[in-house]
Amino acid sequence: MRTFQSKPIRQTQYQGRQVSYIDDQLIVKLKPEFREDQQAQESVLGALPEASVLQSGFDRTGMAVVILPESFDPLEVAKNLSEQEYVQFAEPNFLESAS
Amino acid sequence: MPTKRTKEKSAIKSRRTDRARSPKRRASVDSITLESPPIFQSRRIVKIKWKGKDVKAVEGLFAYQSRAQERVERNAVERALGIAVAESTRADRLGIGIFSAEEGEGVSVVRASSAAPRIGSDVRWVEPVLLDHISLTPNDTYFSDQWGLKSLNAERAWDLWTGSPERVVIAVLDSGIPLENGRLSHLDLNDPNRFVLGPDVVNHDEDPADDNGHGTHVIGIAAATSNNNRGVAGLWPGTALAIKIFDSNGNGSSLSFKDGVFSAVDFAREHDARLVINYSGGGPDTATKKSAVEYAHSEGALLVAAAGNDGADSIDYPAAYSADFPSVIAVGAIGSDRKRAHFSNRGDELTVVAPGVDILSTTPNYHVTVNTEGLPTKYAGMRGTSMAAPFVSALAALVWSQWPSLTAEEVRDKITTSADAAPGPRREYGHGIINAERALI
Repeated sequence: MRTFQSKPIRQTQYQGRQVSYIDDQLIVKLKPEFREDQQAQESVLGALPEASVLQSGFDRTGMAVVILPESFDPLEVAKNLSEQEYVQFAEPNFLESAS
Repeated sequence: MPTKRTKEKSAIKSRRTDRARSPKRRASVDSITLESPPIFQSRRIVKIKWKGKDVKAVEGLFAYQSRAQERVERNAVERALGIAVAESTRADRLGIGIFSAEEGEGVSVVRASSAAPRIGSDVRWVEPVLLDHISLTPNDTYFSDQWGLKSLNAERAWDLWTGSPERVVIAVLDSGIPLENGRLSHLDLNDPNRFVLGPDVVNHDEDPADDNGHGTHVIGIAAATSNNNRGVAGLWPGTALAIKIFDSNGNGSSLSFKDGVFSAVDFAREHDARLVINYSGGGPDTATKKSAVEYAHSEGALLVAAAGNDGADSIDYPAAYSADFPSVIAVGAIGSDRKRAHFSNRGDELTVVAPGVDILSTTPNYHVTVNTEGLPTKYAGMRGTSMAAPFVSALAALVWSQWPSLTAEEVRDKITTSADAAPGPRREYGHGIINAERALI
């Protein structure tokens, strides 16, 4: 199985191209107006699957990284989370490569 | 990854006695000692127009020729120029002498050259002290094989460049830089005053040692030490910050790109430097990467990114964000025939093209992933838009240091408007082939 940082990766068609993403990582970004809003942050984190772990808290641009429990697909979780009013976007951690 | 091995070079024997000083460990906390601006006899060198040509002059130093006297009266010079003369030399057998302005006196060339008649009939002429120079061809062993530098007129550009290297930093977001026992270990990349260690955001530590080889090649193209009687010459003589965002397999992620951008911005802020970010990588359009690019843009940074090597009819991201942000340059590759390399991606977002085939540069002095593909240690040829991007980053740094008041967008404009005309469609060549000489005029 292909891995990145010792984590399994998944592959899918995304925006018309074959892409890879890390099996358990989810990136979520708050809308600018909610970046300093504690309630918004708690609401977003509360909407994650149970047993999710915050890998890194909300940074200077309002982004946080979450480790999802096994069996959850970051792409599916991201779809649901993106519907939250506080969320600017949620997406898996897609792989890049040197060119 | 580079698509194919293209050239091998025998390795230069490294001398065990060579001792690199301990490199700076943390870019975010260390102050670095950067190179001095160009000087001659303790005075700054400035670029001026003189008799219709771009020349270099020594600031505040003027030559005169006396008709009769051994020394022109200081008072006469001061009255004519309206400045305080610090000292003047005795005229030589031809009646030629030098006077200098007090420090801080801004004597323009025009004022100096028009002052002779007012100084008096004893003075034939006054002119700025102009610099002559040995036309510099770097003595690096493999310089003659570096067709890319010749193609973009690097030698003429170096002649024209009068910028200060401490004003700009190139952050190379890649697989790292050669390090052994925590020390810069490649003889062309071991000046701790120029090569600064950033973090390893892919393995989450402070050790950006290159275990792949791609980053070493990229940083060498941009900034390898020139004129040191060994190896290759880099285009940019200033600071390069190595941030490791690709692992030993040459893979990174949206997140490591974002973290790399943050580290680069922090370093530039702390050192009050203009920031060029070189990213010789790519992938899909992701909101995370776009946010990072937006952040870099808001911080005034210039992002130079590779267009990608799939020979595809679309540009990789983040290069393709050049359509959204005027501070992004998307770079394609050409060969030595100045034609688009077949692997170089095409698209409306392409900004410029640069040499990207058979590019000779540095590889780690120890065994890494690229060596398993047949590339030698220390120096090797590679190809890819990855190799084209650092030429553009280095040129951007030269331009920015020459004109520090420019915005990132204006630096991009300088590079696009000075490019040699595209020999083909815009989607394949962008605004054309970069020309370092023209960009610095």
